[in-house]
Amino acid sequence: MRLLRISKQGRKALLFLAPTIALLLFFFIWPVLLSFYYSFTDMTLSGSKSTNYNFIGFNHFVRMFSDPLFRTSFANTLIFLIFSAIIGQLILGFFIALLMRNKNRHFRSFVGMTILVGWIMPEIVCSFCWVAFFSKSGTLNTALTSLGILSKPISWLVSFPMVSVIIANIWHGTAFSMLQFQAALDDIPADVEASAAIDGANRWQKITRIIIPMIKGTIMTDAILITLKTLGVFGLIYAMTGGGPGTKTTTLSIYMYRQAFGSYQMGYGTAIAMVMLILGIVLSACYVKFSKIKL
Amino acid sequence: MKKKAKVIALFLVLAMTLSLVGCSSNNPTAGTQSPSSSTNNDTSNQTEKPEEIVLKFTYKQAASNDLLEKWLEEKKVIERFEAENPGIKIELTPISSSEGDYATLLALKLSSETTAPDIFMEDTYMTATDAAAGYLACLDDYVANWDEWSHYLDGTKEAVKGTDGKIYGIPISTDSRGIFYNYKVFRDAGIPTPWQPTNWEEILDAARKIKAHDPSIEPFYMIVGKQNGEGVSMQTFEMLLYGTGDQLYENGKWVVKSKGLSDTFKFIEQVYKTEKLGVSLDVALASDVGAQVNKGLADGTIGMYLAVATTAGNWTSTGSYPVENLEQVIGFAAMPTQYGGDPATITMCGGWSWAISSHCKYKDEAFKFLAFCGNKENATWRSLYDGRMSPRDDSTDIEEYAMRPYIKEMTAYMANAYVRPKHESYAMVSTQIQTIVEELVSTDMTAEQAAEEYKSRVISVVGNENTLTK
Repeated sequence: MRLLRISKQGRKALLFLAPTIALLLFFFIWPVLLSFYYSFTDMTLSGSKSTNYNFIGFNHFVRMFSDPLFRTSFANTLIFLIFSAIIGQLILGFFIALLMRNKNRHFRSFVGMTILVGWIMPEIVCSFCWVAFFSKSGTLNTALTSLGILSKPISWLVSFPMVSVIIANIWHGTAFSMLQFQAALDDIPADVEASAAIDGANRWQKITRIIIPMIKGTIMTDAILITLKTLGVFGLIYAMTGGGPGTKTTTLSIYMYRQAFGSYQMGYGTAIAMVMLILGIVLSACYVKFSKIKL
Repeated sequence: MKKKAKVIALFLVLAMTLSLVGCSSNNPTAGTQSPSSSTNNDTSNQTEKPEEIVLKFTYKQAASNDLLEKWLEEKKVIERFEAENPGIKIELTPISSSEGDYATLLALKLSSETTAPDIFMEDTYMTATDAAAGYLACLDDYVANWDEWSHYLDGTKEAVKGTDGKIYGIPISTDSRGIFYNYKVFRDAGIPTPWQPTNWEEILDAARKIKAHDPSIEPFYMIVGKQNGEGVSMQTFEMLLYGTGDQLYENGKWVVKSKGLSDTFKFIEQVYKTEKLGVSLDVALASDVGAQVNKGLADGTIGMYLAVATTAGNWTSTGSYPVENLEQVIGFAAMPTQYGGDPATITMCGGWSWAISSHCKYKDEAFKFLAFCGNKENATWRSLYDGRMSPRDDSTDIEEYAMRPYIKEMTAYMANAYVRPKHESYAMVSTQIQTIVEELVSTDMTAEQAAEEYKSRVISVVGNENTLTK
C-alpha cells in the first residue's frame, strides 16, 4: 500500500531511474546471485558435471581453509593490495598532489600529464611496456649494466616478480589518486593555512593537523575505490607474469581464473570470487569506520 | 522552457532504453550465427538463396603464419568444397590463443546454443571431457556409412572415442614425440652424431658436455611454463613418466604416488635446478617461448628440445624459421625410457580431430565437410602442412608425404606409443601437472615436495576414492 503513496515527485524519479535499476538488476545483481548459487555446487566447465552439477553446501569454503594455494593467493593479494594500492597509489598520489600545489602552471600540467599517461594507457599495453622494461634485455638491465651498477642482467620478472607487478600497478594507478587529491587540496581555503602559519605551525603540523583532517572524506573515497580496483586487477598480472613464476604473483583473481578456466572447476572458482567480494565489502566497511575516527 | 527540457530529457531516456533493449535482443542472434538464424539474417538482407546453409568453422589460429589457414588457402579447400556442395557455405571463425585457452574458450562456446560453432578443431585430450558434457555430436552413424573410415589407423580412432566408446570426431592427425637436437652444437661439444640416447642419464650427459664446452649455449629445453598448457603435461611430464614404467591412470584409478612420479619430478628438478642444464627461466616462462626456442635450435644457441614431431613444421620451407637441408642441421632422436632396456624408447601420441557441436542444426551437411577434409588427398596435405603424421594408412601413396622430413623417425617411434588417459577428469589432472611443474622449476619447491603436492592436488580434484598409491 505504501508503494502507491509515493509522491508525484517520487514517481517521476522512479520512472527516470527505472532503466538504470533494470539494467543493474539484469547485468549486475542477477549474475552475482547466480555466482553465489554456483559457489555451492560442484559445477565444472566441461565433463559430465557441467550440466549435472550437485549442490554441495559449504564444501568449497571448507576446502579453502586447507588449500595451501588459496592461502598463498590470499597472502599475495594482501601484499599486492597494501604495497600497490595503499602505500603506492594512495600515499604517493597524495604527496605528488601536495608537492604540485601552488606550483607554476606549466610545471603542474607537465608533471600531471606525465603521470596521467600511465593511467590513460590500457592495462594490457601498460603490462607490455613493463615486461619490456623488466625483461633480461630490457631497458632497466641495459641502463644498470651500462652504468656499472649490475655486472650481468637480472631477469626481474623471474627473480622479483611481486615487486615488478607492484611497481607496474603503482605506475598505472597513481594518477587516479593524484587527481582526486588535487581537487580536494584546491578546496582547502587559503586563510585556514595562513592562520595556522601565524599560529606557528610548521610544515608537517600543517599536513597532519589541517590538510589531512580537511580532506578525510576524499582519502576514504579514494581508499575504497583503489582497494576495490586493485583487488580485481587481473590483466596486468596475467600479462606480466601469468601469476608465476610458480605461484609467486598468484593473487585471488588469478587463482580464481586458474581454478575456473584452467582446472575447469567452476564451482570452486566462483567460491573464490565470493571470498573476493566479501573481502572487498569488509575492507570498505573498515575504511568507513576509520574515517569516522576524529583526527 | 522547463517543460521543453523535461520533454527532451524524457525523449533521450526513452531513446537510450530502446537502443539498449535493441542491443540485448539483437545480440544473441548476432552472436548465435547458428545456421538457421544466420540464414534468416542473410535472406532478409540479400535477396533469395533461402536454401543456403552457413556452417561456422572454428579452429585455433596461431599468432602468425597459421598452418591450417595456409592449407585452406593454398589447397583451396573451402572453395572446392563449396563448389562441390552448392548451398553450403563455410564461415571461418578462428580463435587466436594459446593451446590451453583455446580448449577453455571452446568449451565455453560449446556450452551454449547461441555461441557454439558448428564444426571445430578439437585436441583429442578434450574429446572425452567435452563428450561427457554433451557438447559433441556422436558420429557413430556417420562413420558407419563412410567408406573412407576403414583407412584410418586404429590408434587414431581410439583417440576420438568418448568414455562411452562412441566416436566423437574425425582424426586430423596423430603425432609422436622425441628430442630435436642441433648437429653443430653436438659436434662442437664432441658428442658423436647421429645421436640416440639409450637412457635418461645419457640425455643429461649430452647436456653437461654442451654446457662444459660453451656456457653461452643453453643445452636443453623441455616445456615447463604453464602458459603452454597441455604441452607441459604431454611433451614433458608424460614423456618422462611413461618411460619409467608407471602411468597416470591405472586400473581405473588415478595414481597419486609412485616411484615413476617421483623420478619424473626429480629429472625435471635436475635439468632446471640442480644442474642448470635447462634454458633460463626468462625464456622458458616467456609467453613466446615456442618462437624463441624454435629459432634458438635452428641457430644453434639451444642444444636439445624435447618436442612433438610437428615442431619440425617451423623449420620447413613453409615454416616460420626455414632451415635448408633440415635433416642435416637438426636431428630427431627417440625419447629413451628411464633405464633403457625393453621397451627402449617411448612416445606419447595424441593429435587433433574435427568435431561437430551437439547444437549444430545441420549435422548431415557438417559431416559432409568433415568427410571432405578427411579424404585421402585433403587429410594427407593437411598433415603435410602442419608437420604431423596423417591418421590414414594410405597417405604414403602421396609422394610429398613419403618424402617429408623425419617421416621415418616419426613413424618408427610410434612403435611404443601411449595415449593419455581416456577419462573426463584428465583435463583437470593435467592442469595440476602444469602448475606443479612450473612451481618446481621456478620456486624453492623440491622434487619431493612436488610429488607430495601432486598427490594432494589430484586427490582434491578427482576425490580420494578414485586414486591409488603404489
